[in-house]
Amino acid sequence: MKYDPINKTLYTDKGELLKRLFCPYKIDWDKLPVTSANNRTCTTCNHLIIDTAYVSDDELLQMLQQNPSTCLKIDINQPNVTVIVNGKT
Amino acid sequence: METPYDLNINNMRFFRVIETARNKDSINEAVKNGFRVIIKKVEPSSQIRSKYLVVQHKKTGEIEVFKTTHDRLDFDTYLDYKIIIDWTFYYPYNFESPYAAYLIPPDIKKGQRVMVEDVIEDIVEYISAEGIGYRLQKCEAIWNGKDLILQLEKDDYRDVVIVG
Repeated sequence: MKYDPINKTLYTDKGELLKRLFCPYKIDWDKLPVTSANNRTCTTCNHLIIDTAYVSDDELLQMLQQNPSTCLKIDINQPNVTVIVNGKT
Repeated sequence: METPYDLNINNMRFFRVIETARNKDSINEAVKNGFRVIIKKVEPSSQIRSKYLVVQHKKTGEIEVFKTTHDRLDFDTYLDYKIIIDWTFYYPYNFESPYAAYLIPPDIKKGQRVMVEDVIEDIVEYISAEGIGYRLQKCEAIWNGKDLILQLEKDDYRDVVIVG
């Protein structure tokens, strides 16, 4: 997947829009309770937060099509993320 | 009163944190401790709003409250509920006082960049597709010698771990 930190937007490797990341509560991932091996639950709004390091583009696309408000966590250093600016690496 | 620094290496910031006092006693305590106080009105913005829907189970009388249109009843239980309050917008905050103050440390320098952890001004950070207006809660700012100038074009692109 590709992440544009200026627009805070996540795309698939093919360039399909996944989600614009925004959290009004500025959640600190490290302080969230672990729900399962790769996911956590937001203590403020109870949303499940998916760690994108462990899912494929297709899985993410499917999740977000089913529930567009699914929350995501990315670390720009994770192996499956490329940082882009204005569509370029 | 201490003036902690933001040591969150995760977002690569190292700015001094400016605290906000939201009642008379805490403002006066800060003044006694040498802080300069920048007092502002707490004025709600009509653009900042949440919404809710209340439904009630027809047999048990128990209610469910939804806050986004993504919250839905299961299809097979949908008919068991009736709408009591249809989607309604409301202002979701209830601040302690109609005024508040930024606490400016005496040794802060003109032009210094700081982190305001509790913004007094009602500034919209983001409006969702369904019309929910989220309030800016924290923001970088620059002290110009008289006031804090909020840096609304924030450098969030420097974040390493992003949740949203």
